[in-house]
Amino acid sequence: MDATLNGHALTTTGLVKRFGALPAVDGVDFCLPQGARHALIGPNGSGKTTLINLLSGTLRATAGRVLLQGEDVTGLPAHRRVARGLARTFQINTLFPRLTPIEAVAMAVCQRRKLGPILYRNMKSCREAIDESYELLEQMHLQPEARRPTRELAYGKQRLLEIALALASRPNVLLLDEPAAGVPQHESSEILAVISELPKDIAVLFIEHDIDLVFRFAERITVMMAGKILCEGTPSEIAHNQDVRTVYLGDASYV
Amino acid sequence: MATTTATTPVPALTDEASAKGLFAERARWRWPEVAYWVVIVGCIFAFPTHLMLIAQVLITGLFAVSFDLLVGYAGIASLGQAAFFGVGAYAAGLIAHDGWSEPFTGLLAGALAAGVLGFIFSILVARLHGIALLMITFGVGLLVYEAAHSAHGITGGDDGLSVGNLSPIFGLFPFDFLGHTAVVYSLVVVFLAYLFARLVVNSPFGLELKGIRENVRRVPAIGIPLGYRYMVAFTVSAILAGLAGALLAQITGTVALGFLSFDRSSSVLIMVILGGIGTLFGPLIGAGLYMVAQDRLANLNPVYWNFYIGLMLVLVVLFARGGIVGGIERLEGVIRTKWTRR
Amino acid sequence: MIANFLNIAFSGIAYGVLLFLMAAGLSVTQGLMNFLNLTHAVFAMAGGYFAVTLMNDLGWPFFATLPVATLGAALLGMLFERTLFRRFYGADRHLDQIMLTIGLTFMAVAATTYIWGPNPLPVRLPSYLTGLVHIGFLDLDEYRLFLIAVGIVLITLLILGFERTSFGAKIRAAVDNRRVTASCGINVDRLFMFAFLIGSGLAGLGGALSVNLLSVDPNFAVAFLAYMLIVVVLGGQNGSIKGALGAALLLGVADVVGKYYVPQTGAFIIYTVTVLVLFWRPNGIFAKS
Repeated sequence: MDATLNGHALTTTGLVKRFGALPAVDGVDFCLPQGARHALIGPNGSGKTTLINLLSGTLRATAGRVLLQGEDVTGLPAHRRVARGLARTFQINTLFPRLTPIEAVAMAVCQRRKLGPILYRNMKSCREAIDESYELLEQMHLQPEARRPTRELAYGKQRLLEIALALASRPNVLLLDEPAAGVPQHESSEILAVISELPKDIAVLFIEHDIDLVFRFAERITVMMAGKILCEGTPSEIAHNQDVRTVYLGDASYV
Repeated sequence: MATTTATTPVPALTDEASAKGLFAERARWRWPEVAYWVVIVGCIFAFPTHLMLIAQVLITGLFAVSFDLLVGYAGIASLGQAAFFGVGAYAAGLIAHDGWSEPFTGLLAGALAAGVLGFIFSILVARLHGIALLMITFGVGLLVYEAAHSAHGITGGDDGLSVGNLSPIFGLFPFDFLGHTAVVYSLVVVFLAYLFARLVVNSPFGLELKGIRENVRRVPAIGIPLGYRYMVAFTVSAILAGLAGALLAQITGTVALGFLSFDRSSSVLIMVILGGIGTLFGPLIGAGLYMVAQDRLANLNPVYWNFYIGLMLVLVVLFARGGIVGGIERLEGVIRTKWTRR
Repeated sequence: MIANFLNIAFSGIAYGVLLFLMAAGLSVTQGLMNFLNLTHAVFAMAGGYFAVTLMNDLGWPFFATLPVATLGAALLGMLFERTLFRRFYGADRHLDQIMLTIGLTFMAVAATTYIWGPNPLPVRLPSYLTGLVHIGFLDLDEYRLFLIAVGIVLITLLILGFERTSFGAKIRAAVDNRRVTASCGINVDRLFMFAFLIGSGLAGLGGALSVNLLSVDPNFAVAFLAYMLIVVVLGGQNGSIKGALGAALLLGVADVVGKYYVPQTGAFIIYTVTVLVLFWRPNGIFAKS
């Protein structure tokens, strides 16, 4: 397959996921270049989250392949893909209610630093890991809340912690599943700031429903519909695409 | 696990230092923890006629600690912990029964046998959740019990196994009827095992266990291989439980099917809940209270005992989820706020 | 030889029918509310005790005790559900559920021992139910025939109710996706209550029907809990009633056959097979993945 030769960060070929008779993802060929800022949009039920789950390894594909940095990871479980540089966030906060942010991030950092299996050394002596965790929290402006149990954090802060956890594994591909979902207006600016400050060498694919956000951050947009890719292009191409308008707005056309 | 909040008043430290210092704080000895060991040693001197009871309190405490590792830290509610305890006991018992009466070898055998069972078990457990996970822990517990029951040629079946006399420790300290050697032996072994459990719980591995408990879904998405972590958690938990079983077999001189029963599995659950789940020293305290109460109320109709234990469990779930340790912490919090208001 | 085996298989099927009746409710509540109800066997035990007490102390005819036992168990279940269980639904509360229901089971066993004593209650059934029916070369136990007949009727009603009524459809929908079902305007809370009512009632009926075969003693609630869990876990996960039926029949036959041919190790084999099957098929024998 030619995809591996182009040096793309993430590629899929003929990716299919069936739930019983229902094809949630129905033959998706997708490329994510290095350092990309790529948005994935589409109506509810079009298969976006399923696709992310297939890319991250949370779900196993029925058919097709997933290539990460040119290597076939289709058969790898999620935690192995993380080790190879793929990280994701979840649409609904999937965090650790009674752990504090510093503990949660330290867990991820320790795992990356291969300290995870160590049970004979006290955490407090893993200074570098702790320092790194704190720095990451600073980047997210979470450090004032570093010692508060996660379940006491404001929703927007939790969302930031989601992203911090993903970044702790130093990914080169980052999948963001609706990063700003459910966040009230006055808290969303922080999330937007964080997204725009993401390192340029990370390839980012994000699902979003907020079209403003999409047009602000995306260099390319992919539109999904009923498990397939409807079309793909730059923001202005997508905005003027007739099929997309039909899918989102019905048959009436708007200028 | 202490529920320290951001409002713990330490004004001289910066945010950064206090954030980074959280891990050191979590690993500190709390006063009830220290108090437990002081009280135990005190009791050894104060109640020289009850040394066997004290030894059993210690041993049951270790058993409870082994269970807390699973249920309080990894979040796995097992109904079959007695299997590890019993296997350890029978292993140690069989070795002594067959003539090898050196005590530490017995401990080693018990820990090893239980550890192997724990390891095998972890492979089964890795892919199960919810009711299937509960059932497999329940099932393994019942299975091991039935196996021991059937293999009465080896285990003595309903009659149990007599362990016989153990050699003096290091050749110097013989085991006596009054339990002097037994209680010191138990104290040292349990204390060392407890230190090890403490180390595990405060290590990076321990942190990952807590993560598994808090949200098992998220853990693989951080790159943590669940299967391997379960393996280690179960093996360590089983080793500690097996050690406790071996100790009990050695100092009481017998092993019986009751070591493996569901009754023992459920009572250790109760002790951990009562003491404070996920605190490691809570279960020590819970086990102590349970054993002492059981001893004092031995004349009581078991019907009353079972009823009130059940009632207590229900009440704890409804109102006092943190057990005794949780209650102490809440009390501390109340006192602290009253104090700072002056 | 063959007649012997068939007789035993027949016995096993009757036992399986009983197990199904007792465990069906557990299957539904586990799938519906994600609630690990270790008290479920208490409902069955209650049914048995109600039936026998009515027969022995009040002289009621056997058949009259059945509806009372069912209703009594159902009300008991509803009481527990409304006052205690409903605060703990969901996968993240599993530990609380286990603790709570174990505590309640302890209390129930103790209370039963206190009221009725620790010994099994004597059971005297009407003579037209105790006897043998001769079919060809087989001598079949009348009571077990009766059980199977009743069982067929109940199971058919249950499965039809599950698959053909709107109530059954709502339950299946809620098992599948509670949030969406609730957002369709369905009162999920009341659905749970009725499901619990029916489930514990069925268990009570099963318990009442079992009085001639199983020992009516306080240990029932613990002794049969394991088998109920096995039925749910091997076939009835996520509210699959038909799967639970299959697992119950398998277990019933396996248990009776085992106890007859290998009495020493019968239980051990069953637990081992359960554990192994779970390892190979975490979602049950009949589940797809």
